[in-house]
Amino acid sequence: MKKKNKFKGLLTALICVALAVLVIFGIYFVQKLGNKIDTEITVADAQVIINETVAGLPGNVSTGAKYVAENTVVTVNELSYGTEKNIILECTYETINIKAVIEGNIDRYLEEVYQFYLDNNASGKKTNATKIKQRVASLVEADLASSAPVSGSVTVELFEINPGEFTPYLNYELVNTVFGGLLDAKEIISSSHTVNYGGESVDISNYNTLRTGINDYIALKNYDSEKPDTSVPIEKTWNKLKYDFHRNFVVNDQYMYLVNGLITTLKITAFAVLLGIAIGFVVAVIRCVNQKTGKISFLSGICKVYLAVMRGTPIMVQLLIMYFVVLLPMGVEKFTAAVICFGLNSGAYVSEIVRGGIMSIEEGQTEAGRSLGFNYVQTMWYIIIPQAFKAVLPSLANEFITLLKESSVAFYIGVADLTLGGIKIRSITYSNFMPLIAVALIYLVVVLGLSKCVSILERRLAKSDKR
Amino acid sequence: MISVKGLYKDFGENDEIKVLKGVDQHISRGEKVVIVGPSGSGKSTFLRCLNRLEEPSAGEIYFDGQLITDKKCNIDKLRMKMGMVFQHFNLFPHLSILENITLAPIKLLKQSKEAAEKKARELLEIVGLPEKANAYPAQLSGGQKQRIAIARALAMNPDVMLFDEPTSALDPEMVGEVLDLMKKLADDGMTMVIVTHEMGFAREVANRIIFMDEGKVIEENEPEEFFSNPQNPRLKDFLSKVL
Repeated sequence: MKKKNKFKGLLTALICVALAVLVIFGIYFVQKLGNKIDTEITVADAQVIINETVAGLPGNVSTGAKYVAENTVVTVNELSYGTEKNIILECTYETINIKAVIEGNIDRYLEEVYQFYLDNNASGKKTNATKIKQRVASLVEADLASSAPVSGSVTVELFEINPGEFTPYLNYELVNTVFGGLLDAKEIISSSHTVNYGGESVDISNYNTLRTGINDYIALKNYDSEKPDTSVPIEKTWNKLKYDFHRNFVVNDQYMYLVNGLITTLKITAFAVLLGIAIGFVVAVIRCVNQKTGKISFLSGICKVYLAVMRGTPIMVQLLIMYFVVLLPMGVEKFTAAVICFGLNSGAYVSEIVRGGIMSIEEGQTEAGRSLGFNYVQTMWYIIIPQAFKAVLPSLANEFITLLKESSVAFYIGVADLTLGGIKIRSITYSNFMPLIAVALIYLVVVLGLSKCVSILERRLAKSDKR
Repeated sequence: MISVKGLYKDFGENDEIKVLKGVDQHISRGEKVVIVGPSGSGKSTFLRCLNRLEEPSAGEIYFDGQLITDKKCNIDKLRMKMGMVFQHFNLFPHLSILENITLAPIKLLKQSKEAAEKKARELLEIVGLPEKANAYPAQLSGGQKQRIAIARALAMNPDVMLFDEPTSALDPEMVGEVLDLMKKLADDGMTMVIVTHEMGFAREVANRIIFMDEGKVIEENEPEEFFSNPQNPRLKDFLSKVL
């Protein structure tokens, strides 16, 4: 009986699901149909879409890109509907073929750039990429202004990617025409940064600024003619990695961001741990005394609140509050603020470690100390704490490691630590892989090294306890 | 030297465990008092009350005429004059033997390091372990540890020595060396209060033996009388088991 009911329930559920699916599909189809009707456009609408698209083409694609917007005129002559829910536009265009202009004059540009470079060298001036770029740009600009427009016809397809919103799909021919091949150039260019001319290799330094514009094209031209990259894909990847590494760390000694960052991180951690140990021991002793004798319950209460706050809120929030709310108005430096914040945070954890350590020392030690005439504090200081310290030393070292990693949030208040070093490189080169992986690897190596030291330390301590 | 009047000690949340139920004692200078009794009789608690390692619940204890159960009394000062030896030695494992012995004299009696070490080496000579000065507690046998513990207590020049079952945690073959040392100490005229199960030692060394049971002193007498002529049936029973 029960089984039957269960089966019935299952069936009902299945039917409900099926119905729901049907309804959803139904709504979807109706909507699609509606869209089809809504989106019947005229030639004039299409022209607007084309104009917007051309105008909206990224201006920073190249220095030459402005010619696209200024000099290219696309006229839509015929509009028809395709079979794939697309709209086909037959257009004619009139433009200045940048590619043709540059190709026609490339030798002259190179000669000029080279002469420019030599002149500068002779007069002791520095030739950087921006100057070369400006030089070539002015030459190209003059040529483009004086050259005759070319015209032709292209087919543009508008596809409905989001409902009701058409996206023009420019076929390869159009892209090539309008941009003179510069879009492609941008893709391939990213593995060369020298201009070879007259048998000499001219290093256009600081390649970062060379990623766009006419210079790209010049570099590409040489790249293609002098050194076609016929290597197999895996080699290409390797070359790209090598190049990325060079670009991220070697250029302008950018690796120093990481080195200095690491030093700062280690400094913050070391100071914070010292502060943490000091606070931790005081708090631990206060709590132990309170636990054993029931005295100083007020101090112990303060300690408990401190522990609850420090262990109950994220370290990031603590850092922000500590810096922006408390210390910044007092005029405290970022570095000091980070040390104070991490020290306070670490103190909470250290105090629990130390309390465990003190608790682990047998009662007899206290009794022996007291029976000799030491008071409670002296007993703690001369007898219990040295032993507790030894017992918790490995845990303290682990706390150091934890803190080292946690200190990476210090970049949030602008402390130039290792993490911020990586972020800085990233903001210079716009690459993510190299700087971030490098930061992670450095943390990993340091942490693994410290862990190794801790385990050696642990073994040493264990040895001294043996007979 | 030590006078105890109406000493009570309760343990537990609501003081429901009554360990000492009114003990009166007087221990004179130079006297060697041995306390025996079955386990749980309160003899260790009594001893630990003498230097207030246990806070008495009620009663008065005088040491050299000073009321040490008084809250205002500086017990730390008085403890310097009362050496204590524990069942489990309680040497400081992080300090060398020499440092174990000299720690308190240097820190509390403000002796110079040289003077304290000179004294410590003399004591090591007395306890028969001069070669262990730079060893650590973990490297010693139980008997050696206890002899060092005695030396550590002696380094404070105490007026009285309290022994809390000093041989109970030792292997049988090591008991002798510790008892020999304690005998030597007794012969030198030290005032001693000893809780022990070593009846032979008690008979040989004690001026007076106290038998405790269920928190009270049931019988006390000179050793000869104590062993040969026990009065209380409880003591008779106890002696018949341990002798």
